[in-house]
Amino acid sequence: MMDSIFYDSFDRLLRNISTPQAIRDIESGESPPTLEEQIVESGFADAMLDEDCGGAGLHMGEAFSLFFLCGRHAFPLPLPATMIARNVLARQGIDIPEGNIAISAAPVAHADKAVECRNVPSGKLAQWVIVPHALECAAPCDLLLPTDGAERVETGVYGSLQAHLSWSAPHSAGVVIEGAYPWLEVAAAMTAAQMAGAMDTVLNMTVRYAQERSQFGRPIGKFQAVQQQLSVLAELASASRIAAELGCQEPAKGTSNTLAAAVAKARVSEAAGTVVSIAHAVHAAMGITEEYDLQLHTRRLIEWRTDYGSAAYWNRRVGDAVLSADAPCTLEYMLPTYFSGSTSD
Amino acid sequence: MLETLTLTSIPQHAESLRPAVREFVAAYTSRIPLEQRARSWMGFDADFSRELARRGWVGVTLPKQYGGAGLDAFSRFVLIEELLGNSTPVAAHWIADRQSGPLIQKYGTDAQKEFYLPRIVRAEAFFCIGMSEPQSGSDLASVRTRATRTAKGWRLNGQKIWTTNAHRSHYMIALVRTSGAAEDRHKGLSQFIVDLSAPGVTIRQIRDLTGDAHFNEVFFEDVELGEDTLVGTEGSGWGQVTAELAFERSGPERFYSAIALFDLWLAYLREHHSADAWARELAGRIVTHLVTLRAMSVAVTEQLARGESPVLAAALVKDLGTELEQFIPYAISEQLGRHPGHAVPDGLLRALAYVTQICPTYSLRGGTREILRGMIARGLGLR
Repeated sequence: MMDSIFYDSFDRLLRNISTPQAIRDIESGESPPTLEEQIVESGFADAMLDEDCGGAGLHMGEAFSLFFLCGRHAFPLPLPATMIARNVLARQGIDIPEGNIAISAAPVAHADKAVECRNVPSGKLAQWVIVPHALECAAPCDLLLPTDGAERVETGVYGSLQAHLSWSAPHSAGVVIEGAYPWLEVAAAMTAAQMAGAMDTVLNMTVRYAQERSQFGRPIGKFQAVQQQLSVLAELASASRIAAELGCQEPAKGTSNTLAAAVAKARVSEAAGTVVSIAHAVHAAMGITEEYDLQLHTRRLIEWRTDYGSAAYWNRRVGDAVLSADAPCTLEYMLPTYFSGSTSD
Repeated sequence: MLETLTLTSIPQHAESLRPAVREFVAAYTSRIPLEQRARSWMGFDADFSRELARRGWVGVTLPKQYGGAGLDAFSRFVLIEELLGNSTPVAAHWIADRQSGPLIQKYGTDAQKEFYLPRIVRAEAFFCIGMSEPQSGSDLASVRTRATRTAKGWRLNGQKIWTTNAHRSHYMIALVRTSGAAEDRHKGLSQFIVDLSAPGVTIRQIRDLTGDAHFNEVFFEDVELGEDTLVGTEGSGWGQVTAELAFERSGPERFYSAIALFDLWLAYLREHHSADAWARELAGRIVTHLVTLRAMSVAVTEQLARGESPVLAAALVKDLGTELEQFIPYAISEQLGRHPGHAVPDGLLRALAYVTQICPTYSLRGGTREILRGMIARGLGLR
């Protein structure tokens, strides 16, 4: 169970170490040893490990809050992915390696058995990458691959921490992860949580800016046209947060339903476009500058929108499920599918 | 800043109500014509309301001593979610159940509770809300209808408009001026229970663009009101009305209004195996929004159950919810129009036409979009 002390101390830690300067340093290619050391020292990377393995035993639904905080502080290392991966590896009895672990979407297929992963989130920083469906096996065959020895190609996108990664002989380099873990769905929910956190920051920055910036003799936040836009931003941030929280809930016992994650990524990704537009509209030219911190969050939101599938992808997944359901009405489809863990007393 | 909405589960005691309601609704819905279902909670069927009352499902949050079930906000959520999710015609008792009953319970005298609440619970007393006037829409505080003191109570003069189902209701809870003038704004407003059969009350129906006549003009000409018709405190009407709004704005009726149309469309797609890639994505998008809104609405219900009045959070749910309700008909018609010449069943087309025509009201009733966003902006510290 996570209490508010745990949450608050993580919030404080990130506020102290994930400074705008630290984020800029990492984005400009400086190596991040200090941040990494601080995270290792804090122990938060093991937050999801069982308590008898030295962790805090958080399940996804609880870890949601930590992912949210990573997004709120634009923490540049792939800590959420590392937390998730460390727990899955531990449960598989695999020795947990040191360093950042990124999660890739499915790789591009290659005839010559090589593996190429495009646009791996945090691919520039990761020492390890989880590659789902890396090998053609009878069962899904996921690999944990070291980036040491991989070919790493930068995307060329300004400030992006993504990279294309490829391995010429993945079978010999990687460790097989059994268990058909739903990496894409979990990474999508995790990303939705980070996005909701980023939106929280974007909302706060934008409201503050509207209160400080004056035109026509009064703060622009006093103008109804601006107020109405900020209200929409607040609505979307609020909807995104609860959608992401829902997406991070464990499926009900005995089921492997991952559609809540689909809802989360679809809803939050759709909202992100509007959130970014409103924030930049209110900030005007100032928000476009490198110097002003808004861009640290909006650039990330723009990238996260399509990481692990866009709204279109996940809406389609949900739509396929709805149309193949035989419930007499949407309500009777919705409740067991998305709210099955939702009874308690 | 706005308070955070946190994922909340519906407690088991409330969930336990669901199967019986679902079973009853399933048996009854076959008797509800398709057009009626498209009307969602605008659908008026006094027999249906009385059937619900017979099972103890009207006024469930009211105390047992008045015939209610003494249940909490979660239980009512489960009940109305089943009713609205299945597009049943709840309009007859809807206002009394949602607002008037709780208002009388909270602010009424013992005599008022003893008189009205059992009648509400038995679905014998239907209520409407008298708020808007010809010159007072969003600017509600400018109401001019006035109650003046008499020896035996009050005398009411003025006019209400857009009063939904006044012609089929027994009582109106009216917000009127008891002192000062329109310029005094929030001061000097009071709420009265007006017996709509009283001398001096004239009700005139207004036909809407779908051909229905659900709303009305209501005229008051020297209507004599007894002392016992004032609800709560004289001059406190504004505060009392504001407290109602959290109940009025956060419930499932703010995102399920177009669900009958959505269900009809899904049934059509399934039956004809005609869901192309766009239709699949659209169906998913609508569900994605519904699931999120439902999670938000349950979170607000949790605050209501704790006795709070989450007016801002409720405004947020209503604005997002009605946006979806209005998106659904346009998106479905766009989708159906992708295949000119396909035979679309008349029932689906009529439901689609009805919802498309009426859906502008979804973001008018209970506070316009602009008013809600203004409230949220105030919550953000901008006003």
